[in-house]
Amino acid sequence: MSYSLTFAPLLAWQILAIAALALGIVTVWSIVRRARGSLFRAIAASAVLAAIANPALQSEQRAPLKSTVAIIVDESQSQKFGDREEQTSKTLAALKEKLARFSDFDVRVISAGKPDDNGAQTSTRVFSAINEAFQDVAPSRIGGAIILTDGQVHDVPLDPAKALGFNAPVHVLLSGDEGEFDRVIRFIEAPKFGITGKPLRFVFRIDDDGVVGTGVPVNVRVVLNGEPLTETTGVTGQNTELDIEITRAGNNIVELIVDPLDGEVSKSNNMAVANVDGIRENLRVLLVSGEPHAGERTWRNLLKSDASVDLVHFTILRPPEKQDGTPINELSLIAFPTRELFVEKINDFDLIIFDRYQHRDVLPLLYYDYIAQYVEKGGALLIAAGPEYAGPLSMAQTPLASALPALPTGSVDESAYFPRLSDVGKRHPVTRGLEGSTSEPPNWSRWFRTIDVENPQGNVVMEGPDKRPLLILNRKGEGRVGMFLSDQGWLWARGFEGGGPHVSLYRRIAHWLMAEPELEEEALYASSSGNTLEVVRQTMADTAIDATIVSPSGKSSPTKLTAKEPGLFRATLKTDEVGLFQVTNGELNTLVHVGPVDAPEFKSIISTDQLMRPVATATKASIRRMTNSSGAIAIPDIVPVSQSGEANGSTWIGLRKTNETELLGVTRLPLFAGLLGLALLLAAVTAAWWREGR
Amino acid sequence: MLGLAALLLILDSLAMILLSRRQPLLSNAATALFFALFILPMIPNQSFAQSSDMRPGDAEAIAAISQTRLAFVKTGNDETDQIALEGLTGLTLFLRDKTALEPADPVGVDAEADELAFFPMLYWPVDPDAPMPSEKAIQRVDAYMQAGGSVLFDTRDQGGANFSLSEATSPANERLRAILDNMNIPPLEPVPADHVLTKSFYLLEEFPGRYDGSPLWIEQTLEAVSTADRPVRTGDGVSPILITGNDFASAWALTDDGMPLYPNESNDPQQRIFALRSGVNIVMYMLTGNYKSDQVHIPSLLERLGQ
Repeated sequence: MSYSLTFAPLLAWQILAIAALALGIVTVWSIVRRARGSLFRAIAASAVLAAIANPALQSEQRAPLKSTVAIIVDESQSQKFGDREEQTSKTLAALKEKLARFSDFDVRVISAGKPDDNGAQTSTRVFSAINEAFQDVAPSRIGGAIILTDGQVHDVPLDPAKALGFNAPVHVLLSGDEGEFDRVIRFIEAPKFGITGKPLRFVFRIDDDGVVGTGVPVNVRVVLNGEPLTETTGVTGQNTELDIEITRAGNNIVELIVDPLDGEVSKSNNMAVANVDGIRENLRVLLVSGEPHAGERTWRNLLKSDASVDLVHFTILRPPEKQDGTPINELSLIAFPTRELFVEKINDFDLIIFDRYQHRDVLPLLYYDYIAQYVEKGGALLIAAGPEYAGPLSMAQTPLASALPALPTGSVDESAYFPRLSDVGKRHPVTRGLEGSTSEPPNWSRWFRTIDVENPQGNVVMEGPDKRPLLILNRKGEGRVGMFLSDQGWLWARGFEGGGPHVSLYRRIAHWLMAEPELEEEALYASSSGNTLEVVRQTMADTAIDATIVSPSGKSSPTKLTAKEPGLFRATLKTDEVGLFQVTNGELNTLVHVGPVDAPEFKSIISTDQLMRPVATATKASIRRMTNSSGAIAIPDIVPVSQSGEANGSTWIGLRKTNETELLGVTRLPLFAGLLGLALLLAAVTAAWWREGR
Repeated sequence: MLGLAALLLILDSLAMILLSRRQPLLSNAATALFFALFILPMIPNQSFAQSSDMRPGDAEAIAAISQTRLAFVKTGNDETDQIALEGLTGLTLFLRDKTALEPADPVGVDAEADELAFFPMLYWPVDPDAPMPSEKAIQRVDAYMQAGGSVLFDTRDQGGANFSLSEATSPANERLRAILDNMNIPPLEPVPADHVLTKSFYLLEEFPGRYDGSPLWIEQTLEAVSTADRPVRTGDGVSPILITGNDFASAWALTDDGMPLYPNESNDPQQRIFALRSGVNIVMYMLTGNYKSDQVHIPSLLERLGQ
């Protein structure tokens, strides 16, 4: 407790000074004059001045302050290996107990490195956590920090003392064991996109952390989309090149799995994953237009503008029976190279489209048989039928009939109708969600013709008037056949009644026939965004069975798929794991990687003091293991030390006490206020008057 | 729409409460207006959609598109329209005779009222004596061209020889300019020697009609780079506009037994054949686009061009 005399004048100092001067002059003058009562007057004057000056006796009560101590607990994924998690929790409990005995310390426990909701935290960021812990604490009151970690910290500043901004020890207690070692494989170069069927160059590297010496050859298994592809040999400490041919369009997952090292910390980083988007190129499409007609340019322009398609287009401009005497050098016509196309090169085509084609004497009958065989063996055929399909020269009258999904009845219906999706079509990937299909009538223009067929095989995905088949998609042998039973799709292209989505429809038909993975009826996709995993099951069935999601740690969780829109069932799963998830649904399975493909957390996982030692040194603190040589938890004692004292001993760690105190209260005793001052003044004045009055 | 209706309903209710005692007429009028504007239009729409996809005029539409047809824009001048019809009929007969395309009989269309999207091309004889087409007709033809249709303008006076958008040289040319002034017309050029139009069916060097002095103008091809190994331009798309002054219709017009209806300017009988061949190439160009510029045709075309 301390005392002090303070003044709190009731008038301004200047006025007080003038009054004091005036009173002083009068008093001195009266004393000089030896006037009566001048002593009392002097006393009265002093009393008045003192009352105005208002002196007070002030006392302060103070208490010493607590200093703040932060315990930063590393909860990153690398802390989950071995006994690290258990060691850390035991150490934390023991530390809290020890610190509780000291009233000098205010303890805050902060966790670091946990993946957040967006999955962004895939590295251990201890120093951000320290900043967070001390953001509301004055530097002089920081007692220090104790970090419980495996030493794999990814935000160690270059100049720790400066970056921390306070002068207090930052102690490190390491989990894990000394002399740990671990093998890690990672991609140095992995392309994001690649053309299917062409080799892609990958570069990977294998490191044996904690092992002296490199150059050891190691066996690496290469897995593409869950299927073993090949085996190769990598050398530790060196980059290895690898060429992989991706097989499918869309997402491909390349996994490299390296043989484990006996006794290594974790096998989870013995695998590296790369996502590659496969792009299809050079799809060869043969378009045969039976005659020039209004819809020809619609198919042609669509296929011409598709970057993945190489179009070979033939139009029968002049049928054989119309040959006349026009000299050949005045004609721009060439012979239809039928033998070359339908015998020699037929298997080079990914899709053959007959657009309003009728059987003229152009193709020998045998060739239709070749086309049917081509389909059976995995080819794709589209019949874009016009009224000729119902006529005597119909393709259905040729051996091709065996491959066709529906045969004509011979009649053509000419009436106005809105093309509509069938119930199957609402689920089928080719027509599902077609722009304008959700309203009734559909938000696209009408057509005026359908070719009648009977007994359609496969899926009728679009319907004409009275639910007549309009678009049929069928699988035949290993191949696929489509049949479009109106030739008036071009009305959509020409903007009649506002037009329609002919581009998406035609494109999807062509690509479904060419087995584009995205358009498969039965498909399973998984994608991840942050730490949320989304599973999509595309199916023609009414229901979908539960999917099974297997996490990188091997935990298997059945997940219910719920119908969101026709043909699509979805599920989402939040996870705190990072790595490759396997999703299975019936016979379908897929892989998805959650989190960054190359997370720092998995690059290096051995317990180490290398990264944090500069921090301990810079803050004059200690770095030591949580366990002693026999593996038991051994917590050092806590010793409060002064601002300048040593903070590191062989069996103890020091934390700073602060010199600062806290003001608890102030007591003021006014000396000239109240009755005492009044009495003094009255007495002095009365005495003065009494003296003067005598 | 419904939200607005609800708002109006609320406003109406409020107004009614406020005014009902003093002016009952206003409230009734507001309610009636509300019904007329928002409720009534909804009723026929819904019942119509549920009953049938048919609409008035469907029979005409089916007739127009069940087969490919050539069509011309009616000018209002009977004589001109008659020649246009005879000309397209002649060309139709020629097409049926020589090509895989077998068009149905040609039709004349009223650009102001008829659906234009059904026709792959429109032949428009420009007649300065006919009434100027209405703004609506011009706009509909413009929209037709924007949506992928092509229009063949024919000034029929050989004035196209000096055709230019800035300088009109004949009454028909002036009329054409007046029509085109209200359309989005791309930059034009005479058909280059390597254009697909010169090879879409017959090999042609010029496009004569009754006259042979006018070039055929088409949209300028921007990447007009012709290389030795690629004698046909690969320009994407089809010109929405073709302009000639050679009077195609008169040259195409044939009697039922295939004899010419109108004399040509020159006595050369080849000119009529080339006129019809020009017509075939133009129609094939509009139906097959740049088909003949495809790479697959190039080796054979190169071989033949060397002859």
